[in-house]
Amino acid sequence: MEAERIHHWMDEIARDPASLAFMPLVDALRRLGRLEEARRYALRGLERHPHRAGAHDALARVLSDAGDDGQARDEWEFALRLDPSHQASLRGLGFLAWKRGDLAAAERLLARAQHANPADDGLATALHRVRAGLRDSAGAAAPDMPAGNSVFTHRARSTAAADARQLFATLLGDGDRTALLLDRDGLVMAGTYIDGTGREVADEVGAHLGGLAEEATRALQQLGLGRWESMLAEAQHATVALSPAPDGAVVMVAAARDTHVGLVRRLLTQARQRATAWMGAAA
Amino acid sequence: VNTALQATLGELAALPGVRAALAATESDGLPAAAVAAVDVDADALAAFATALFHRTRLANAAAGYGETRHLTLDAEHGRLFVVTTGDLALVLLTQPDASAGLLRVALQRALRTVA
Repeated sequence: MEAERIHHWMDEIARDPASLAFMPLVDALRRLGRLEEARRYALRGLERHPHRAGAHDALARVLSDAGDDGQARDEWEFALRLDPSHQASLRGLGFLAWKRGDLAAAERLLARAQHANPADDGLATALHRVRAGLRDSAGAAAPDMPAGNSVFTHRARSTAAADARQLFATLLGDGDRTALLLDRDGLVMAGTYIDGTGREVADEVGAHLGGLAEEATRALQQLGLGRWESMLAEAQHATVALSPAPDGAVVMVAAARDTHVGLVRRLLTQARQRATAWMGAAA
Repeated sequence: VNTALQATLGELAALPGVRAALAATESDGLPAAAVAAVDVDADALAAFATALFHRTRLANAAAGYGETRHLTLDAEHGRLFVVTTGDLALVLLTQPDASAGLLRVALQRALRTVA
């Protein structure tokens, strides 16, 4: 399906080089990890549409995924000069600030992005995580919580949710790592998963991995291999490890591709122990 | 069946600890060729390994991690290795104590040969 859409956009650009189809095309290629192609289409689009914020944002996302945060930042800043409320650029810059540990700047940028699109749930999650980080670093509640925001008025509920999201935070350290605990249906129980553009993708990842534990258990029994203990997938930009947790749940750890596989396995073991203890305590 | 593919699988199957080496199409999970111990269900192994790889590939793409290149699954009584090129998947089933490093290199080399 995605391949068809990509071909459709490519055809459209071939027919009409000024078409705006390059923006969804760049994003689709980027998500598939075809970064060089994505960069070429983004640059070609920018030549035609240099005053369109979305064109700069498209290129910035590709640069960010390729690890060129400096150039990505330049592109997003340029986009904001063209359109100061461009949500995707605010979000991208917010994520870069978060990556370099500047939580105050991340909070400012993400709050502006949320103001531009209050219905963005992924952004709300990212902002919540940044504010939790700010509270932790200040040792007290953040002073600039927006009044009337339900996330903060229902303090007890939000604290439990924040605790779940932060379950693996101290294990993961400052590196480019993430961890999730998924239930048997692939629903996120704990942890967060923010991609290179600052988008929360935990639900999407969970949906693809839902039912994995049951499927693996059934198939391995049929093959006479007993219980599954762990799984390791090496992708273009990351190493992803999974292991079963109680009640059919799955723990997942992901780390940048240059992280030693041994370290990823160790993180997985620790994450599984923490998830098992947390599930026991939460029951 | 391509004789080069069959020969490659034969070489993989001769490695220490390997119980089965097979090639399958990732899109439908059907084995194209296999060299396996008699107690290994090659059809079931191909179906499971390709389905697992496919699911993992989608999850990695959703997370923006790009193309999935290599998958290892550790189970109580064995290890499973999967690599793909295009629609073709190479799958190894081994003893639990088989050397992952050695097999990983052998699989990558085999992948280049069959590609």
